[in-house]
Amino acid sequence: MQTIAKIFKNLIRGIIYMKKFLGLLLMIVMVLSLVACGGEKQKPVSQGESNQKTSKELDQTKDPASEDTDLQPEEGAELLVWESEGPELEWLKEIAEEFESKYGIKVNIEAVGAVDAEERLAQDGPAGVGADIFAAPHDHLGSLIAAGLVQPNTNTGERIKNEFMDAAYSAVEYQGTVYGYPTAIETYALFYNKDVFPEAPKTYDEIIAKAEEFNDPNTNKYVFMWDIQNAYYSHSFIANGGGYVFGQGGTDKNDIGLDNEGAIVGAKDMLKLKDILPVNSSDSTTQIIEGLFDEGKVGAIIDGPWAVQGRKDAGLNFGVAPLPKMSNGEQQPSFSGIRVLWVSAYTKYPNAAKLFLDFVISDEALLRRFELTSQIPPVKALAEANEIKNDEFVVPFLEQAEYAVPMPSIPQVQYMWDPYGAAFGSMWNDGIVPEEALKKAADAMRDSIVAEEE
Amino acid sequence: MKNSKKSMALSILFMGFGQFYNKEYLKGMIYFLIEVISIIFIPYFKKSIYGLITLGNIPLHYVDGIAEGDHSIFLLVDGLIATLLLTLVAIIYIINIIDAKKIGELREQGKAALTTKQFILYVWDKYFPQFILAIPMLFIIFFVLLPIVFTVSIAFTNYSSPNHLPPKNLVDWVGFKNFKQLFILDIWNNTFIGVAVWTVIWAIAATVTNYFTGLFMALIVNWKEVKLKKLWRSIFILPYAIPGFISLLIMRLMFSGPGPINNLLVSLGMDKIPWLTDPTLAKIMIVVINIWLGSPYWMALMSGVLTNIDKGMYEAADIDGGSKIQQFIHITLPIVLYQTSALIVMTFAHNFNNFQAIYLLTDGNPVNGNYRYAGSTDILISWIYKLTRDQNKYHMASVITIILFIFIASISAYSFTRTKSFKEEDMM
Amino acid sequence: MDPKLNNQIPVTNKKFTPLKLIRMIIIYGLLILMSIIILAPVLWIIGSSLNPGSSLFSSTMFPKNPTFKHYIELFTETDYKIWYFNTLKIATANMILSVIFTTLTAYVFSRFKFRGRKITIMTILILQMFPAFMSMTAVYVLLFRLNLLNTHLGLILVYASGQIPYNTWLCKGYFEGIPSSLDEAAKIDGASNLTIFRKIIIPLAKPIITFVAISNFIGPWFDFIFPQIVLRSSDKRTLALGLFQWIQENQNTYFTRFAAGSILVAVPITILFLFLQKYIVQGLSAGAIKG
Repeated sequence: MQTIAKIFKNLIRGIIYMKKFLGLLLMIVMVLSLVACGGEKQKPVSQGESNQKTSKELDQTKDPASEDTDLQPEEGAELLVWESEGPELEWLKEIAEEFESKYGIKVNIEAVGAVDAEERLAQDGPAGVGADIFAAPHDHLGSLIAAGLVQPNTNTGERIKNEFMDAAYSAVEYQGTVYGYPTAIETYALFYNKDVFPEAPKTYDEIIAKAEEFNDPNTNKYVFMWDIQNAYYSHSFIANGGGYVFGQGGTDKNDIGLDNEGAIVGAKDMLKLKDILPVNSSDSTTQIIEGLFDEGKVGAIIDGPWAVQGRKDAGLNFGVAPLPKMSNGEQQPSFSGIRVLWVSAYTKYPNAAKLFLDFVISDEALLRRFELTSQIPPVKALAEANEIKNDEFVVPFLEQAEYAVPMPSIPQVQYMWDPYGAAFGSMWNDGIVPEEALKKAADAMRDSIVAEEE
Repeated sequence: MKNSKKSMALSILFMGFGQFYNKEYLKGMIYFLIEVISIIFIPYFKKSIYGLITLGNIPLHYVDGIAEGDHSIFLLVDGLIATLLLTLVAIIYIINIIDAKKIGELREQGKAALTTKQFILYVWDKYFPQFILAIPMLFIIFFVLLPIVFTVSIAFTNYSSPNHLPPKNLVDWVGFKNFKQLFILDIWNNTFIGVAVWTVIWAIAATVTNYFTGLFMALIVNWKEVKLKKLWRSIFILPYAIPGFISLLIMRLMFSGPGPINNLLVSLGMDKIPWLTDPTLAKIMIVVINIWLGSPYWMALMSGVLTNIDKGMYEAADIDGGSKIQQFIHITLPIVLYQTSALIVMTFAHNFNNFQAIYLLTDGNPVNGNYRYAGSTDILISWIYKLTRDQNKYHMASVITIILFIFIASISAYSFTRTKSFKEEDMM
Repeated sequence: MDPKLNNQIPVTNKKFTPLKLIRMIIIYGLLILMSIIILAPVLWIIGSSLNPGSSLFSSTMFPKNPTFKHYIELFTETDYKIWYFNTLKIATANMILSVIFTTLTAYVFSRFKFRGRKITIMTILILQMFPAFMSMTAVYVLLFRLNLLNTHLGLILVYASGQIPYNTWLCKGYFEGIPSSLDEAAKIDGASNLTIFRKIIIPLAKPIITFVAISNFIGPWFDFIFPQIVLRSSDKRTLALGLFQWIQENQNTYFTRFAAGSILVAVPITILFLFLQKYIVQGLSAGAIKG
């Protein structure tokens, strides 16, 4: 304590002696640097008398057929890429090294969550410190374009259209222009405990039947659980009946189908499961169901490919299968998400970026990505690759993907999650009838769309 | 008289001239430089203020493939910074005038007889507070005040998704429109009232429970005959030392339906209790769990306060035959309350804005179909967070923030004026 | 105490009465009960970090197959070490800078009469209550203009500035308890203001200064909101931010690793608390009393 006090004292002494006129002087210095730096950084945020000379407006209706096939990277290009932490990051680092050795362009990878990238770029981009390339899920497409954060994919659009899965193409295409570079397709499926279900259950009736002998609420044993109040998962029940979020393939913000007749049918079907899952929806969240599943207390859950490793680590004897069929004999349609890499509108090296991305979505690279991440590449041909065909934990997701509907990507999709999730909660916990609950959610969305500032 | 008037006039003319006249060369130089710099940067000031007023005219477009355009929010902040700087310059200007006049007067009164060095030291001594406060104040102005002014400004714009999100789009000033909307539009005011009421209840409950629990804990730990005081105190301070974020997450799981607490109840033959899933019970549980988190702070505080109370009073009470309980009510409690009154106010304000406690424990759950973007246990601040993060409705979030702040500020200001240190005259 | 009174005081505090026994049993009982209530979650947190899977949830306090895997992962698969050092650096710097700002400011407010004194201190105290969320963008632009984005210095300045109001008020209260007669005596001997500050105030205010130092040291370890705005690259990241990013996303969540990481943060801080218990208590109460 004594020595610390002494150090404090001497520090203070030194600074005080300096401080005699430092007060005012420092103010001057601050003013100077503030203003000086303020003066420099005007480039991407230029004002008033802007250079209108050669405004090459990025045309929204550019013909995808006219592609850049021979891109020359800019002089001294160096790229910054944002990707979520995890194996996908590691894969990118690998590819980046290969790219550097081949083209001599340095690529730096930073861990920035794919869900956060959009928000970050909105600030960092204009400030000039944003990434040149970033990962973001496909449902951000609409808002990325609305905020002016991405530029079109001008070199691989054709390839994506022809060789990638349809869902992947439509996920990155907007009004005729292709924007991103898809790297993986994912959807959720059924994880089942092989000790409870030796064979994967194919219908919900099978599951309900098993509940009789398996369920024991007092010890938290339930034959089936899923994240009920998460619209991402529960929408699949609604969609099965004929409900949808936005009409016209998810692009019409004025046509909301969450409370139509089909939706209500789907909801009623879902509510039948209440008998075998007598818990509050807040108690059926992912953390809990995964924990219980790991302990062998749950027969089956709905979860995504990212959860496979965790279950293996827990030493569980489990398998994966496509979602069961509901009462109408139809497969339960899950939401699919496409992972995409985008080119920032603010990049100083658009050519180099696009060149790198072309390299990154080559078949070999995407297969390697699969090896590291177990995430399914969105390339049709690769579905036949041995690594994928023979992986029992991957094939079921591929199968389910055929029935999956991509999440809508227009900016208005952000209004959906909260009210829709709340609707599931109120239907499940408070016994509100689907007609009412779903209508409330749909109305909330409609109100928000109407209230959008013009 | 003549000196001071002349030097004042000179300083009005141009900063520093008055000081030169008073033979204060160093100070004069500094003021002079400041004015010169300010004049040089007039174009910068002009541009920034212009940006502040218009919030940009040119939306995003591409020049040779590189993006350019006005970013309304950057312009707003730049404009505010420039305004603050200008204000500072104006203040310095005024100080320079007053200073010139005062020094002139001092000189007339014969203080000029001192040598320059002595004179400098004299002035340094006389204006010591101002000199020392300059730097911290500067930081507070730019790091605390500026962000507040910024937030308030946003409430008067239409900064929101999806049509007014920079950098693609421009943001405009809309006056009081957002305030009107909040109070009139059904979408908002139903949720606002519900959330606001709970916020007030929560803040009061959290403060009161922690206060008295902490006091209780301190009383017990510091009881004369208790041994191993250090051990108890060490255990009890643990919740304060462990990062709140992990404690809350674990609590959330512990009190979940299939969680250990319920399992314990079941093994004892009782029913499970919906601790965090029933809207009313969840609210109560948040307060209860918050006691675990917050009372150690109060316990530590109370320990000190208690040990500082004059033992003589207790002894006198013993003589008079007062029971322990009476002693508590008539001696301990009044003293403790009086000493810590200001802290209670600050804790109330802190709890009002206690985002972490709600977000991590329940994330506003259980979900509430009647609220817009808020759950049953959301408080104003966590609702604002959801509005910004999920809905990008920055303008409404700002409006709510302002209202929240006005409420807290008035209560705090009123309470502060009644605390000891404020009422007490300077203890010089 | 007056010796005469000794004989007249009932010797309840010396004799061992049944009432007293009951009272002590109740008190110790309460102490033990409270300890259990406090320790149970703590042990649970530790237990969850030993869970082999990725979920924090477990039906038992300690998992059936506990593993230290996640602790090891912290050092082999992540930048945890770097974050630890970053945070240590920032915390220390913040502590020093904050103490300097705060003590000087508090000294001025407590010892000098000048116009607007009361209003100023109250204003900055209230300003501090303004919720910081929306302010982020303003701070971002400010730091950007000052070229301090993605620097530790920027973050330190943000922290140090934000804590000035509250801690100044605490210190001011304490300083006011130091008799000004000491100041006057020193002035007569020819001491300057700063000398008084250095030689009289600081030594006598050790408890409160320690408290301010400690709370400013601890703060950066737990905060993830400001680093999110200021710091951009992963080599500059602080602990709280790094830990939080592991559980932000819907997928790729590493809850158990997060738990392990949090515990490793809690350990040194807890030890610090235990050692400096005395000062913390003194500091907290000192602020309260003179407040």
